[in-house]
Amino acid sequence: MDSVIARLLDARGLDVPASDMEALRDHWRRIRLLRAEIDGAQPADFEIPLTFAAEGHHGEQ
Amino acid sequence: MSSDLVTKSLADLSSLIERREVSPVELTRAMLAQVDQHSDALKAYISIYHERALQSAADAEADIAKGHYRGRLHGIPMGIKDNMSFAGQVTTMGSKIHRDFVSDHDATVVERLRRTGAVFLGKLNLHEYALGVTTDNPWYGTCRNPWDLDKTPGGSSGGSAAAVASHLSVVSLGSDTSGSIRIPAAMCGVVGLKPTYGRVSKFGVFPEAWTLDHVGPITQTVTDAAILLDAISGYDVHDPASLDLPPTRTAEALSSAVSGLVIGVDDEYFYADVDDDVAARSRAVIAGLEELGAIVRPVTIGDSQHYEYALTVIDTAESTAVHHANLRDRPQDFGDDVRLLLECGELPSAVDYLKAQQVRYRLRDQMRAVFNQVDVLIAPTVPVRCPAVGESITTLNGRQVETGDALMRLIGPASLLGLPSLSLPAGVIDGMPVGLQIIGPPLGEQRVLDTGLACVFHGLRCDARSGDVKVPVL
Repeated sequence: MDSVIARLLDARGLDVPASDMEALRDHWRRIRLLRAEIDGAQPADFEIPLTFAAEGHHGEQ
Repeated sequence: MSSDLVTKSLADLSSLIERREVSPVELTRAMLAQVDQHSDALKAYISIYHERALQSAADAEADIAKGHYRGRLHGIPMGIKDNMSFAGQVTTMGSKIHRDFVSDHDATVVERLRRTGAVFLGKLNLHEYALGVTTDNPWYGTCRNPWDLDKTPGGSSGGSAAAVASHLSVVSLGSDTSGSIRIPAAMCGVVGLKPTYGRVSKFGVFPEAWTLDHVGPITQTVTDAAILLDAISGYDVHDPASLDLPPTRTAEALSSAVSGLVIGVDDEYFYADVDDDVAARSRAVIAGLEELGAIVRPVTIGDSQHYEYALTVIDTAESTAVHHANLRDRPQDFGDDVRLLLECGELPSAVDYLKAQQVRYRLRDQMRAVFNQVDVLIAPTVPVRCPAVGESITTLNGRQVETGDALMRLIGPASLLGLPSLSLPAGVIDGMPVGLQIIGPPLGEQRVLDTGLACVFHGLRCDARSGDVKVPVL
């Protein structure tokens, strides 16, 4: 777990204090657990489309 | 006279000002005196605009004297959360990095309030970058709860809620991404409304998470919340998320009718693992409404773990996208808790984020089906009693729980799905306010405000100023 987190943070150019690692580990473990539960419970990956509007929205530059 | 004046609601003050029985200058002076006396203890304000406020009040008074009364906010003094830009003046976002930031334009909500003739007293304290739920701010001081200075006011709009609760602001604006209007409203015994996503412009409001951010009123009463919502809502060409709708007109249509109202209650989501007395308060209000003719129906809004995943991944990833460059280049200039939160947002993959959006879509469909059966959902706003300042672990029915997670646990559905949600004072437990939330379908602001008004009107102990509930005296 630590090596995964360290690799991810290093890839993003971040210098993370050692004091943050335990909390990051706990957070990441929780997210992985939740994701695994959702993967088991949701419809297949392709069945919930995410949308985009080609004409954009008012206010967009 | 002055001490009575500062405790009055927006609705009452606007009537007095319109009839010229109260001077905006007198009111602003009284409010500034209150601010000067108590703000240091509360750390509710970051900036106080003594001269500007008195000048605005004088301008308002002159306008009104000439017969140019602009409406119910004309001459009303208020503070604004310090993540909403004021042209030409510093907006700190509660941060070190932006402590000298000056925008060249008002946030749209500020511009709209200026047009109403509102008087701005200053900028209110917040959790740094709105990225927290306690308003423990390392750069501008820890905001305190006016009911008990050793307790948290909640956050991130802690300054806004504390100021309204202690009459350092007649009304205020807050922002809400994962509970930042509703949590402090509940902790401070005031009304907080998170409108439908896109109902109120976010232009000129520093982003926390783009697809979750909302701006809304924090007030003493439901009527005041309706008045303020009407003034700030409506389509804004500058905000891509702005709904193409006119401003709301909720204040003139407020109704306390209850008969036939269908109230949804999800015991599993909103009442499991909640402080017994907090849950009892919410259930008592529901029972009171039922006695008045409302119908209560059990519902299931979705798996709490799915809400948790989607909200956590979307909120942290979007927040980190806002701050990535500074997190990389100057991490020491964030508070420790905010830095850690942003580091968490660096972890999810693109697929994790897209999965979270898929979950969001599915939960939205499930909630749509729920609102085909019910008019509103009613639940506690926060599942625990008010924690102490700096308390990272708090107690829930004798068990220790992490404070931040506990404060945010019940606000997730309305946050993730952009639903209108009103937090209403629901009494006092151990001397501290508790709140209940009334959640409506998209664009259901009238419905949630009406339900809130009904709770107050029918004496269901949902007004911090009524009965055995006392407004804190500092």
